[in-house]
Formats: sequence, C-alpha cells, structure tokens
Amino acid sequence: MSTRTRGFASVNDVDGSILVVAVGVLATWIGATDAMLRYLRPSMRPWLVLAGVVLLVLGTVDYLHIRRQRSSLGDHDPHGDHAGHEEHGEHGVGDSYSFGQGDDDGEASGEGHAGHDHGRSRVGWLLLLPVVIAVLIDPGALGAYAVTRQSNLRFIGASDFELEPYLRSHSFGGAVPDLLIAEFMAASRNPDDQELLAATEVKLIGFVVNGEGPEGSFLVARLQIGCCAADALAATVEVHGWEATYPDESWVEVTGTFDLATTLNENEDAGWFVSPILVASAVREIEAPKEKYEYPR
Amino acid sequence: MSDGRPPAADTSDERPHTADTADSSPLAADTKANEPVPTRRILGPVATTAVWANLVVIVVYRSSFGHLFTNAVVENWATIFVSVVLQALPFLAMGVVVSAAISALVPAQWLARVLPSKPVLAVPVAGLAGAVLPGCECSSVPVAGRLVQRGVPQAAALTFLLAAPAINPVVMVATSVAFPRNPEMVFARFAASFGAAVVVGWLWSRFASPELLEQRLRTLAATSHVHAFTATAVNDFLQAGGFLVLGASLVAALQTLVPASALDSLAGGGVVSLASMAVLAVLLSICSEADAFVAAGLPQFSLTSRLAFLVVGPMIDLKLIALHVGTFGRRFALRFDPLTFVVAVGMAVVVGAVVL
Repeated sequence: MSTRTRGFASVNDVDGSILVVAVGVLATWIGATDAMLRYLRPSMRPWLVLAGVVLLVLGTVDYLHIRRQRSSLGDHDPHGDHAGHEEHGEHGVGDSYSFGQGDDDGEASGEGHAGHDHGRSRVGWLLLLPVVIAVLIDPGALGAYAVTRQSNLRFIGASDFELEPYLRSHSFGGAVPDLLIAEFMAASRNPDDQELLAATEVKLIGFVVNGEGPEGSFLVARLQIGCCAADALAATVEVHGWEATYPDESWVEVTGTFDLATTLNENEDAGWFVSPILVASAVREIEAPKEKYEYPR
Repeated sequence: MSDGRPPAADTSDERPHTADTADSSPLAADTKANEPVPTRRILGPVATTAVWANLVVIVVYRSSFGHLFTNAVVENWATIFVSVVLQALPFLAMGVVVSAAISALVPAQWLARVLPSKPVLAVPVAGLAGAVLPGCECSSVPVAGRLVQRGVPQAAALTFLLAAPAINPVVMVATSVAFPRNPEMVFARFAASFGAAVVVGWLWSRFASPELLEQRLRTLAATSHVHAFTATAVNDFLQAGGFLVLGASLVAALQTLVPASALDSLAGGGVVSLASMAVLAVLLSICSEADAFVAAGLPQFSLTSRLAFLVVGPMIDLKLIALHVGTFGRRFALRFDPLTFVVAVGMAVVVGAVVL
C-alpha cells in the first residue's frame, strides 16, 4: 500500500482532529468567560460557544473514527487505503459529491496550498498559533497603543444621537448626565448641538492616554468596535484644567464641560480630526468596566 | 454527452462504475487509490509529539509565562489577531460543516439533471445553484470536476465553481456581520460575485475550447457517510483555518506595526488601494466565510477596494490556482485564472461604483 513511515496510527490524521478539538476548546472557553469581551461584541457570545462545541464534537468524532479504523484494520486497509484517502483529503462516497482533490503532479506546488496534495492540510498546523497566543500572551483589550495608531481616514461620524432629548431625560433631579465619549464627540461636531453641549456639565468614562495633547492635558478615550477588535475606532476627549496625572490606561470618570471656543480654535490648526476639549471640574479613578469597548448604537 | 474531452488515460475516471449509471454502492472503492503514495509530512512523529507536549506545558503553566509578554505592541498585535480569528470561527465552522454535509449527501447527478442543456441558460442557473449550496473553495473545485464528469456543460460547472464559495448564505451572513454599518456591502458582494461568475462562464462557453480542461480527478472512498462528513469537514476546516490565521496575523501586523500614515496613503488613493486589495486577496487565500472579517479589519481602505478583495478572494487565490492546476491541468489554469481575476476586479469596480 502506501509507503508510510509509520506502522501504527496515522499521526498526521489524528493530529488534525486534535487540532480541531484544541481550537474548539479555545473557542468554547473564551466564549464562556468574560475574556471574549476583549475581542468581540457581546452579541457574538452564543455563536462563539456554539462554534467551539461544534468543533469539539467534530474533532472528537473524527478522532474516534480514525482510531476505530486503525484498530479494526491494522496496517492493511482494503478500502483503498483509508490512510491513503486521508492523505488526499478525499472522501467520495460513491456517486455523491465527493471532494476528490486533484492530484498534484508536483507542478504549481506553491506555499499556498499545503495539504492539498499529500498529508492532511499542513497549513492547518497554523491553527495552533491562536491557541498558543491566547494562552501564553492572554492579551487584554485594546488600549492606549491602539488610540495612538488611529488612521486619519476614519473618524467618529455624525450619528443619530440627539443631544437635547437625551440630556433632558437624563438630568432628573439635577443629576449630571453621562454620555458615551462617541456621543460627546458627535455632539461636539454637530453645529446644532455644540452650544447646548458647551452649556451642560456632563460625565464621561474612559481610559487615560498621556502624551497626545498639549502640556498639562491628557486624553480620555474609549474604543468603538464595529465587527471585532481589528476595526477599533478611538473616541477621545482632551481633558484640560486638571492637574493630577494618571498612568496610561487607568480608567477615570471625568465631569466637566465642553470648551467650544478652544476646540474651534484648535480645529483650524490641527485639521479635521480633533478631540473635543473638555474642561474638567472633577476627575476620579474608577475600576475598569467589564465591557471596555463602546459599541455603536 | 460531456463537453470535455475524454479523460486522460492515466486518471481513474474511465471506470464504468463512476459513469452516470445507477448509483453504485456508496462504498465503491476506486482501486487507483491503492497505488503507493509517498508520504510528505511537515513534522515526523517525534516532532509532533514534542509540539503537543509543549502545548500541554504552556497551558498548564500559563500563569508563569504571562509576565514575559507585557509589551504594548505585542499585546496590540495579539489582541487584533485573536479577535479576527475568533470572529471568523463560527462562520468558518458553519460553512465547513454545511458544505461537507452537502457534499456527503447531494449526489452530483442531481445538479446535472437540474441544469438546462444550453450553456447560455445553464451558466446563470449554475450560478444561482451556487447561491444555495454553501461550498468552501477547497471543495468546490473537485465538485465542479465531478460535474463535468457527469456531463454538465463545462461553462456551467465552472460558473458553479466560482459562485458557490462566493455567494452562499453563510458568506452573506458573515459579510453582514462584518460590515454592520454598511449593509449595502452584502448586496454588492452578491451582485459582483454572481455577475463575475456568470460573465466568466459565458465567456468560457463562447471562447474556450473544451480540450483545455483535463480531467485529473481521483476519487477515493470513505468507509461511511458519517466518516466522509467528519473527515471532509476536519480537512476543510484545517486548511481554511490555517489561511485564516495567516490573514489574521497580517491584518494585526498592518494595524499594529505599519505607521498609520503609510497605511493611509496606500488605502486612500483609488487605483492603488483597489489594486493592493485585489492582490492581497490572491496572496492571502482566505476562505470565503472568513474573508469578510479580514476585510473589515482594514477599514482605512475604501469599500470598493474591499469589495474587490471579497470578490476576487473566493475565485482566485494561490490556493485555488494550485487546485485548478491539480484538478484541471495547467493549460486550463493559465487561461481561466487571469480571466477570472480581471472579470472579478472589473465587476467589483462596476458594482462598487453603483452601489457603494
């Protein structure tokens, strides 16, 4: 039959199933815990867990099949060498759609199609990388570094956010209304809302980014994600009038008022992208929230 | 009845039991498969054991490793990388599972019977069939080969080959999730991909001689339906997952390491950004269920250039080129692949201009 080097179970095929199981475990684990909030929107949670479970089951069933095949057939496989068919990744079942992959005669064997010819998708080994990275580095949510790397081609645009009704409904009993930073930015850029915003004290929550504004100021930022962490968009305000400093990525609650005049001044100098300036009347450190990103409403 | 020339003598396709007669037993083995096959594996058994052992160690002792990687740049890369992979995972899993199920359950003859015989009509119908049957790129090539064997007009089979990975429901859903603020991307992707598949099919039926397509398909049997299903699904997932990892790491690197201004200048200009996304799609070879998330991870680029990425990717990439050569021969690939690339980019531009 095939000139395999191993006499026992086809390690290559078994590796494939184990890889799938490993990825399934990773997905289920992250999906089930709060770790997923660092990477994805909360609404993805059930899908991630489901995918993880499906992969787990798929890999396990496949593993069992291979094992059973091995033990019942030993080295001799009358079914056209099960091992051989695994190598080709072909699983035709008679006349139904089979996935016979063309045999590679050795030509056009580019990097990009590993596993198509012999052996189970060698490129599949790369799937170990996210498992290792997630376990080893266990990276946190995007933070200050991402804020400093924002593209100038993207910006928090005008949204459906209407400032006036919002402020009205959130100011009962003289309470200071809290805004999302993205909402604050949207209102600060909207000529209809600017004056009202400049006249109202508001509360914002975000993490501190130092070194981006003029001396004596710091940015308070939050990241918006659309699909996943890869498209994170920073919403930032420049906090003026507060002397205390905070380390990068510490979370603060800032109470203050929009400084329309200075912001418009800076606008002319800095181009279209500007963080609205907030003059702070109070800043206090808070615990990092579970959901660090803002999700556009 | 087949449009293709008779299969070359050295392939297994002349076997009478694979002709379009009554179903042979599902466990029909192709004796060609018993030929000795050299094993090429990237790691020997000792090395693979070492890999698994290392993984176990890392998992068990992870808390003591944590302090080694507190670099902000590394963390930023890692977060983006993991998030793209995780975001794409459910769609990849779904696409692979459904496509493997269909491949295991739907006989090739069904499609052959359903298609009209005239290429002009068969091509768009085949394209629409692709919309309904989720097919991973990896499996759509051999499926198309099998269709040609069954007598489906070549052009229709090729249109199906192009359309199935590009416009099936899983891909459409993935695209809508990846572009929550731009739902028009879903329609644009569908229209441009369907259009490209049909145009290529029509052009092929009009201008290409049937001898260009060799039949080099081999069939091997699994031992049971369930095994066929799981083995295919695992194989497809591994391959697609591997390329997803490549694409995700590239996106993470671009967003973490390349200066924002450099990326902006590449992304901002019309032709340059379009061309770079089209080329990137060919190089990255990402499965169509996952590529929407990679495209969403490059938001500096215009929607149209990212549309080009999404239209070109499922039809032409390094992995597919190799599959084409392996399944249909080099002469075929030399004509089919550039044609498809040009049509795909053109369609993306046209549809992008109108819709986006």
